[in-house]
Amino acid sequence: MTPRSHALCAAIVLGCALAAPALAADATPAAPADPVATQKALSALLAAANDTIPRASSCHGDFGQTGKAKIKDLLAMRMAYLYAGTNVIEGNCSKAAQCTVTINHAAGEDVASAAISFTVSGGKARSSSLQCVITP
Amino acid sequence: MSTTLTALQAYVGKSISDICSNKFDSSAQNHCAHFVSHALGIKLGVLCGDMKFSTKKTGGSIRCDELYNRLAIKGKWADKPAISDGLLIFVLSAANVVNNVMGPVPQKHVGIYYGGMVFNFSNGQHKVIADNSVEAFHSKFKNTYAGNDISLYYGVAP
Repeated sequence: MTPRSHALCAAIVLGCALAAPALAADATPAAPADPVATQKALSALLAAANDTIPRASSCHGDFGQTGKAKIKDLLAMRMAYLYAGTNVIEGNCSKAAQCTVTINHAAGEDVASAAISFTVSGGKARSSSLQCVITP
Repeated sequence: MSTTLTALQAYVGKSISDICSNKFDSSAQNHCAHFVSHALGIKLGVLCGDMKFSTKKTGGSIRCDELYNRLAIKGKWADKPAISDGLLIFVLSAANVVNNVMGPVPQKHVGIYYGGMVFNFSNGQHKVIADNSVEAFHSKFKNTYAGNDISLYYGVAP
């Protein structure tokens, strides 16, 4: 595969992952897909894309960005590796405005997961509430 | 916690639910760091037990970068100590290890080197396996991960 076709493939797969988040990554029966709930949670997280991730948060890291790590830097790194295999983006929010967005990837031995949890205020994720469970 | 070849061989074929009693065992998650941490008793950074209040601070680490970055003795595999049985062996793009600090890139893996073999959790087979050589382990991930700088690093478990 040429670098160009590889890049094109990456864009298509990422697009598919965003458009159809219910593709199964797990052999076990999955919960019914709820793209409306995913959209709501993802929208709140993206609204805070330019907010800094607190150093004490389990979401903090060096994502190759210049300056302090922002939510968009975390998301960009997780999404950049969804270029092959099976990729699932799911989200949900409770009535208490506690939301979680999961980004899972599986391509043979290349498996990665990120569950990003946060509270929402005014339709936007509160960066101070960000917590992540990331593997590996 | 040191280990033995016999102890590591006993893990081969086991699923993560056989190893982890904290129910952190989804096949959508990567369990490489999780396995080595249970096998060697490593508790650095976020632990599998931290997902629930009742199991908080129990179990093993789940992230490669948290594991590597909190080890006192670590570096390029070529610079590993003479006594190497029981070393952690990490594989990822060298671009994601800057000043001996590992970044949170999704494509990374860790196993335990012992007797020439690498015991590691296969996320494709969902069980612990033993790669017969470092070269076989390295080659597997060179063929899996993006980039032409997929490199090996060691860490001395605490």
